Amino acid sequence: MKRSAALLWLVFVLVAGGSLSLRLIHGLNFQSDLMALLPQEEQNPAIKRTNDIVTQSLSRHVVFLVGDHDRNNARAAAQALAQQLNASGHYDLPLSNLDQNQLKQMGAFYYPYRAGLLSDEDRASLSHSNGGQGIATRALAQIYGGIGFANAQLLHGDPFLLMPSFLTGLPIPLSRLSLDDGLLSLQDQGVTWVLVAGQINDTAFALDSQKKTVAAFDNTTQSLRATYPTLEILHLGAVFFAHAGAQQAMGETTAISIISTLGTLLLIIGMFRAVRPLLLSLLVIGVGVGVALATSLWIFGELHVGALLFGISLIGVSVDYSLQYCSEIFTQPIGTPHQRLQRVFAGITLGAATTIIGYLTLMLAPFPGLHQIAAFSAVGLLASWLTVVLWVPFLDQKTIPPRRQPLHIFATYFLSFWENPAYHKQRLALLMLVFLLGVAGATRFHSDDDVRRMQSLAPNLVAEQAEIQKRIGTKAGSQFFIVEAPTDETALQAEEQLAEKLRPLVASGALSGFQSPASFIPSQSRQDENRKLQQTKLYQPLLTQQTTQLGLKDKPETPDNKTPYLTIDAAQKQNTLPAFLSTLLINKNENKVTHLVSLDAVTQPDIVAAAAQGITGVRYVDPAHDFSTLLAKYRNRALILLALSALLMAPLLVYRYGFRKGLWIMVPPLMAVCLAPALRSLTGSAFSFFDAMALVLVLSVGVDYAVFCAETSGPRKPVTIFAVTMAACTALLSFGLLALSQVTAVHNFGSTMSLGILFSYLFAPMARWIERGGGKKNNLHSLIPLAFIMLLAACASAPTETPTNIVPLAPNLTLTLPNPATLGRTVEATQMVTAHYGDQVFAFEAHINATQNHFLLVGLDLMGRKLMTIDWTPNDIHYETASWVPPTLHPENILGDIVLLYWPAMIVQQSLSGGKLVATAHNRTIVQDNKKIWQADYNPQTKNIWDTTIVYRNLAWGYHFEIQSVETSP
Amino acid sequence: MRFLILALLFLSPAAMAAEADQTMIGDTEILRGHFTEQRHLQGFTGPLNAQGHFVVAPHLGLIWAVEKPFPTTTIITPAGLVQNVNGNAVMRLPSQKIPFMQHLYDTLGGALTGNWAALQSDFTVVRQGDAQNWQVTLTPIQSDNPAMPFSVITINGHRFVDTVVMQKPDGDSDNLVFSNEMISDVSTAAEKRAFASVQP
Repeated sequence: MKRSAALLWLVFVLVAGGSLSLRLIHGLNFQSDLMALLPQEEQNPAIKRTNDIVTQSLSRHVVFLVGDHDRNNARAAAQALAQQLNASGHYDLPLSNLDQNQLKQMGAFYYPYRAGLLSDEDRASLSHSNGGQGIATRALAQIYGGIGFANAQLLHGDPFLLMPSFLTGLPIPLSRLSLDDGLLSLQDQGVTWVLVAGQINDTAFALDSQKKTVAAFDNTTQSLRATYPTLEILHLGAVFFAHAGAQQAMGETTAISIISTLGTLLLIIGMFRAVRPLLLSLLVIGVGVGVALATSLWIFGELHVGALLFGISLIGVSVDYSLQYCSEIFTQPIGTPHQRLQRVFAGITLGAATTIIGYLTLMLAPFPGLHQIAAFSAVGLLASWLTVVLWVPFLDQKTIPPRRQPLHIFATYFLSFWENPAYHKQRLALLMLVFLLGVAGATRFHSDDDVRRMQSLAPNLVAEQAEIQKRIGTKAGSQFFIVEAPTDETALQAEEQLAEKLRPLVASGALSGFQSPASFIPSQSRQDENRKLQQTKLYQPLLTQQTTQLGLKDKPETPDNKTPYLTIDAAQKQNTLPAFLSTLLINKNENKVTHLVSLDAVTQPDIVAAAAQGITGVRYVDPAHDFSTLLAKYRNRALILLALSALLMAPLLVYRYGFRKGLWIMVPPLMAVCLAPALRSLTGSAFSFFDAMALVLVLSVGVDYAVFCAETSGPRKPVTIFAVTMAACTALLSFGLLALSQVTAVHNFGSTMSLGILFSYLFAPMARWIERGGGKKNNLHSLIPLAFIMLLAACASAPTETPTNIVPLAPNLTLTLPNPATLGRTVEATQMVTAHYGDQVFAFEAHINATQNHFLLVGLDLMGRKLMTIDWTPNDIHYETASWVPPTLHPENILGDIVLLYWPAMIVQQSLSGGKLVATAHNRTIVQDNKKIWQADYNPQTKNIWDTTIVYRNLAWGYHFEIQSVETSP
Repeated sequence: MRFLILALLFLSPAAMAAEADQTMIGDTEILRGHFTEQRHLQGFTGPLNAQGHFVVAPHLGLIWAVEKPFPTTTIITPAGLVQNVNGNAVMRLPSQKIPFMQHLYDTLGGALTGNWAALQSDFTVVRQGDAQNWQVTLTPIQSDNPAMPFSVITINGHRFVDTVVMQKPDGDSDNLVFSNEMISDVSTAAEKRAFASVQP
């Protein structure tokens, strides 16, 4: 029977192996595009698609600066670089993008449409009553000053020299470069730098093409440097950052995996004084991975490399089962291999079953990547378990027990610490200490999913980026606006509205510049306005005078309205406009056009984002920010999955151990799950999606350990503890080392994993405290669930006690405080705030002083005592409360409510997570899952919301506030 | 505790100045007047202004009514304290719930009868000038008492109190200027209602 089952399994494994080999012969293709791991954005696929197109196109940009003391060498090298990289097939670098001839062509292209074209400055001066005279004088100054734009023919067509002004006003980036014999160059300290810019042909984020693209660059520069020894080449592009990141991760992974493999080998060989346990463990994992790979490829067709790596580490847990079995050799009497298996069978079966449940829970997440990981690891674990149960006893012929190791003595002491009544006080002290540490950590608990902090950029590339940006005088940002409209004309009009709002922000330094299609092609309505301005402010009043003063023989003609308008279609036909204009025109079909407005050096994203407010079809996109928000969402989902998998494991344990003991066995792993993040917070670390994923694994491993401890009895106890110790050591070797990674995401995962495994191991013997059927061994156990609940409560309340920029507004509804400057105005106001919490009423006076970068609120009680101070700047937020502040009153909630009440609706909407703002002139409502959570009513008569009474209610937390506000300085 | 100080000041300014057993108003008399308050808060450019009126009656209590910027009324009697905003009682504290209330009455009663022990248990008192133009500075003995968050209080007056400046340790200050102070011996119906609204 046993033999035939083992043979059956052999057949299956061979079939799986065969299908895998067939696959391998055809070449295995692993997906490596990181984006493929992420789910499709649920909300709006159209928005997602546009964002993707734009992000993809921006991420393909590359910039090179080729510098040499010898101008000719620099120029020759730049040309060679472009030619060779283009020849490699991975780059598209148009070298002579803007030659002298093209500049002329550009002038010629715009010239017929000049009646409708005005630079921003000229438009502004012409809107003033006397602005025309200034422009006429400027033209005269240019001509008599001999700057040399003009010739008689140009003057005849453009007597006020509006065209040169328009052309120089075009927002062509790369402002420090000038055209030197057909190449964009700059001179700096005797070095000539030549710009080579363009795009790469493949996506920057696929490992394979990334490698080839970077290799082509490396080879070319190497050969160029050989030809020109003093040559310097600076490079910039997402592809280089991505490649460096991947290299670093791989380098680290190699080092970590070598150390962890060696460590595990030494540990197993050292402890068993034999090679066989090691080989058995490798067989168990190997069969697991092989079967998992074959099955997953059969199910999914292809596998993501991330799912493969993560899945293998999850299957690695199966080493616990072979260790449980192998350790039985130390039990007296040792018995036959099948007897030894019989002793551990219940434990490893239950352990495998709960772990498989834990992994399969990942199936419920809407992550394509997680589905693969779940299937891969669950199948693999099942295969590993079958291998232990069906094969291992046949392969293990050992009958003589080896000598016991120091680790056994340790295991005995460790067990007696948890079981011996003499250590009751020490146990209590340990649990108290751990609990207090947990509470202390919980109060500092905060989360952070900012993707910019999750990756570590290669420092040499960052330095080169800074140098290039300094030299060419531009700093492209990763943020942009997307403009969607029914026609090009409406899109251009929206961009012109946007430009009106962005220009003051450029002046104030919130961003350094922007490029929109409308800056090159004004809308027809704008061209109409320009025509009218030119006619009424220049030609009609000033043409006669200008003709005389210029000494023109014939009076130029006043432009009429019959010339055609400049349109995007016309521009695209001519192919004379700067190449990057076409990168701003994303898409066009019958009923929709999509334009891009690119932004340079955004320093105050919130203010810039607010510029889109009220302009139909204009959206601000900050991919890094959006991705961070997405990760935060997944973090919450991962936590829900964690809770769910705990719930799903419970019935199995209850079935085996009865209600009380079954649930009790969950306690040690759940303690580990709570304590690991709490202790991480104690060191100031933020909780991220990657920590949450680690906790899923901690729960599975922790339940395994607890089950092993619960299943053992009599003389087997120290042996089981020994096996669990070995398991924890190998797990720490494989995951703990990840904590050393430079990549924040990996570091977070590894740190939480190590702490979680440590605690799972430490508390696992507690699983023995309750005997089956309800008899109890130790009165401490009744305290633990209580402490545990308190810890959870502390975790739940912690975010409100930590000064962070995330304010809870209701369960699952938070506000990320924007930059205080996004209020968009300065305010000094005095307010009488009456707070109603149920029957309780509390009133205080609030004094508010908001300047551009500083928001200050001082709350005084009616006795004149200072209740609280909220001091908020773009970089910091500081709350101070007096000891007599009622516990219901949280300053961060008050600040959150103030932002909801007074900040521009657009900013509020962007800052909310978990709800939607509906704003009208007289009220604001926040809706979550179709339920009203928060509502504010403004006095409909008022124009100034700082000078009126507002009533708002938080329906989730059941309080309402009345704010009487008086603006003290208008 | 601002109101303790205020009540104290109204009831015994001359006594403070002269260190004699004289009191300003008799047991059944009532003092009414107006006040303006300028509050200087750190981080604010200008002072925050408030104004209103007050009523002090040794046998009844104190009414402190702010009219601008927001009408709020605070009524203190031996029974306790009530604060009204827009006609809603937003705070109602019976005196047994507020230890300082008992202290207030001890101090008040003491000052009225020329017994300085209670006041001097909280403050170092320095007097200057004469009965027509006097200044008193009060410095809390215990610097970190949350009920007395002042670093120094300076009072100027002649027959009545003219100005009070309360400096706080964090640099904030309250300047009070009193005017139209008048003594009468009849309380109005509204005042009686107000005092009666404080239930023990």
